[in-house]
Amino acid sequence: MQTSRWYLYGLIWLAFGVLSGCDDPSAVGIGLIDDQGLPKVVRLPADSLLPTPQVDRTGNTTKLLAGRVEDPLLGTHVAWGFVDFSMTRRPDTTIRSVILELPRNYRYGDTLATLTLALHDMPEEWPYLGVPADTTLTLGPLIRTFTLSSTDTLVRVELPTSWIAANDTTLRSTTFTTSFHGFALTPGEGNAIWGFRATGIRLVVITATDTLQLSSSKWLTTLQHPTPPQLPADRLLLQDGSGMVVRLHFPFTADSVHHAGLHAAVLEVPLDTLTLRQLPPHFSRPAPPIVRLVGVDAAGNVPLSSLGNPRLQATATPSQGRLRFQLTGTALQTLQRMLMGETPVQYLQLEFPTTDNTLGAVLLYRNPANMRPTLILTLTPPTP
Amino acid sequence: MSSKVLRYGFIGGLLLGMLAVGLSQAQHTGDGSVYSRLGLGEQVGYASSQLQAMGGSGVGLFNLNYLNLDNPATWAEQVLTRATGSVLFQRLWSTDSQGQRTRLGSGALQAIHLSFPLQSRRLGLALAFRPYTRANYLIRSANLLVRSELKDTVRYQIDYTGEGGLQQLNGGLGLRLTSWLSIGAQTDLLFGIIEHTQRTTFSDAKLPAVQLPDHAPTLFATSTRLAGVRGTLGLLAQRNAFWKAADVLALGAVFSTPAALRATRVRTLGESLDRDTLTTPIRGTVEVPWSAALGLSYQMDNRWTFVLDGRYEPWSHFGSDLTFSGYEPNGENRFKDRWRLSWGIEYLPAGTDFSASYFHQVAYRIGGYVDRMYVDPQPEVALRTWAMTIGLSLPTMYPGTRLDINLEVGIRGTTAHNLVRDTYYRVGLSVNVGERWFIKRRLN
Repeated sequence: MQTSRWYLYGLIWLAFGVLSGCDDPSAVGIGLIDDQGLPKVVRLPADSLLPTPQVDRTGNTTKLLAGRVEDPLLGTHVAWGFVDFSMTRRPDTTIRSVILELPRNYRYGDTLATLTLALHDMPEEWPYLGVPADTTLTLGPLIRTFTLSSTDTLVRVELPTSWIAANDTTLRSTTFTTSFHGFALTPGEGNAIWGFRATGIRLVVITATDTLQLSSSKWLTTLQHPTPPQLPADRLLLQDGSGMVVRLHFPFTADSVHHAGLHAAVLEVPLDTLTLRQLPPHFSRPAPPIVRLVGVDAAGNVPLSSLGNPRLQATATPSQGRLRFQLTGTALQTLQRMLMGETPVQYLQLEFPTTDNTLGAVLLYRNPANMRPTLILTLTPPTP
Repeated sequence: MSSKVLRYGFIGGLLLGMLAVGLSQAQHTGDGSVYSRLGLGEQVGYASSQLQAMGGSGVGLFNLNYLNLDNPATWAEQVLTRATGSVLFQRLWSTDSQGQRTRLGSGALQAIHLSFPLQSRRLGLALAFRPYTRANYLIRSANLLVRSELKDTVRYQIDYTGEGGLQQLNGGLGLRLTSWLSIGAQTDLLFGIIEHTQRTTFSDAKLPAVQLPDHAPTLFATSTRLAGVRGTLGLLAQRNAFWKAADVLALGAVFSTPAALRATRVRTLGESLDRDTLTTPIRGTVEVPWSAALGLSYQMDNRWTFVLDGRYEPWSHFGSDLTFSGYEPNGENRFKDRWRLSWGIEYLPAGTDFSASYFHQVAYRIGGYVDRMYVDPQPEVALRTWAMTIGLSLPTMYPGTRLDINLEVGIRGTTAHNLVRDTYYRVGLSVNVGERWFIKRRLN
C-alpha cells in the first residue's frame, strides 16, 4: 500500500510536468483588439533647411587640389595645394635630378584645355591637421610653372637645376625633415581644378648611383570662393569645400510621429540633378562620391555615443536623383529618441566626410514641400 | 531520523516544489483566455482546495480539514493550525468562427494561506494570499506591410499580451457566538499591476523566420498599478438536521464592501530596462463594487457533503477615472452585474473511520458552476463560463494533512459576434498541512 501511494504521488507530479507543455499562439481573439497600433509608413518632410557655415578641414585628406575654376552655376573656386615629404634614406652623392610626381584622380572644370600651375617653395613649417580650408599660408619663391594637358594622369614636374643646386645640401642633410618644408601648388592659367592622390605624390631624387623616392608626409588644400554660386530659386547648394553644411529640422512633435515606436527609417533627399547637368561645353562637374548625415545639437556639436561615435550618422551616394540614407542601429535608436524628445540631437546635418575632399556638389530643393528632404518612417503609432 | 523530521521534510519538499513550479510557470505570460483582456482581468476565485473540486464555492461549508476562504465565519471552529499551498495548471484552446484554434498552457502558484485557532472551536485567525483577477492572454497576428514609398513589402508580427492582475491579501477572525451561529470579519488588501503590451517585429516578406536587421522591434506597454482595501463580513448558521440528528445543515452569507482602489497608469515604450515613459503617470480611482454570496451545505453521515452557492456582484456600478477594456469614464460601459451559481458533492467512504483502508479515506468530489463575466466582450453579448469540477483528496501518513488533486473542465464564450470560445481544463494540486500547535503539556 505504501509503495502504491508513492507511485500515485509520482504520477501526479509527472502529470503536472506534462501539462505545462508548449504554446501555440495565433490570431484567434484578434476581434477583441481594436484595430489600432498597426505599423504604417509615415512621410515626414523637413520643415526647414538651414545652410550653416562649418569649417572644412582638408589636411591629410585623400586628395591634394590645385587650380582655379569659374563655374557658371556654382561660382569661382580657387585651390592651393601644399605638400611636404619625408626621407627614409639620404642621397649619398651629388643630386643630378629632382622630379615631382603627381598622380591625378580628380578634375573639375574644363576637360580639354590645359592647366598651368605654379610650384613654390614653402619657406617655413606649416600646420595641416585640423587646419580650416580657408587658411592662408605664406608662400616661398616661385620655382617654376608647369602645364598639365587634359590627358595627363601622372604629372611629372622636373625641378630646375638652379633649385637643385640651391637645395642639394638640404636634400642630403640629416636635418632634411626640419630644414625642408615642401612645396605649394598654386593656380595659374586654365579653368580647372585638379586633384591628385595625396598618398601617391612622390619627390624623386636621382643621383649618379641611386634613385630615391620621397613619399608625401603631410599635405593640405586651402580653398577660396571669390564669387558666389548663381542658383535657381528654391535650391540649396551643398558643396564639399564650400564651408557650408545643411541642417534639416523635422517636426517630430507632429501627432503622426510623436511618441511613436520606430521600426525603420530612411532619409530621402531629392536632388536637382537636371540643373547640375547643365554644363558649358567640355566642362566636368563631378558628383560627390559620398554624402554624410550626422545628428547635431542646437549648438552644432555632434553628440557622441559611449563608444565615441556620433549618435546618429549615415552615409549615402547620390544615385537616381536622390540621396537615400538608411538609418540603422544606434542611428535608429537616436531617431527614436528624437521622436520622444529625449536626445540633445536637434538637427540632421548633411555634410561631406572629412576623410575625402573634392568640390563635389549636390543641389537640394527647398520647395516644393514634396521635394524637400523627407524621412520615410515605418512606425507604430502610440496606443491611446 | 524521527518521524517528525520526515514529516516536515516531506511537507516542506512538496511545498517548495509547488512553489518552484508555480513561480517558474508564473513567469509565462499571455497563456490564458483572451477575455482576460477585459476590465481588470479575469476574476479568479479560490476558496479551498476542497471547494475547488465542488464547483469552486461554498459559503455555507465548514470542514475541519480545510480553511474556507469564502466565509471568515467558518474560521471560528478551527482545531488545527493549518497551512495550504496550491498550484494550478491550465490548458486552454480558443476557437474562432473560422475554426482557427490557438492552444495555450500555463501554470501559476494559486494560493497560500495559514490559519490557526486562537481558542479551539471558538475563535480562529487566518491569513491568505490569493489572486483576485488575472490578465494573461496572448494574441499573435501577422500581416504584410506594403511600402510604396520604399517600393518593398515587409512582414510584421504583433504580439498582444496581458500579464499580471490583482492579488488579495486576506486577514481576519472568525468567532463562534453560539452553538449554531458564527460570525467572521476580514480585511482584504487588493493590489497588483495589470500590464497590457504590444510587441511588433519585422521579418522578410517571403521568409518569415528571417528577421530584418535594419528594423527595430517595438514594445508598447500600459501598466496600471492598483491598490485598495475592503472589508468582508460573514455569517454561518449551522445545526443538526431536523430529520436526522447526525447530519448538519448550514447556511452561510458573506458581504464584501465596495473598494476604492488607487490607480496609477504609466505608458511606456521600450524593453524592460530601457523603457521610455510616454506620458506623465495618470492617477485616478477605481471603484470595485460590493459583492454578496449565499451558500447552503448539507453534511450527511459524515460521508456525504452537498453545497449550493450563489454570488452576486453589481459591476454595472463600477466606476473608474481610467479607461479599461469595456469601460470608458465618460463613454462606453459594458460592465454588467456578475453572478455565479455553483454546486458540489463530496463523498468520503470511510467517514470518520480512520482505520479504514487507504482508498476508503480518499475523498471523491464533483461539482459545477456557471459564471456570468462582469464585462460584456461586445455590447449586449454576455459572456458565461460553464464548468464541471472533480477532485480527489488523498490522505497522507500524517493525520490532518491531505493532498488534493482537482480537475476543472469548462467552456467560455461563443464564436459568434467575432468572439472566441474557450475550452479549457485546469488541474490543481494542493497540499493541506494541519497539526496541533500551542498545546500546553499537562505532564512532564
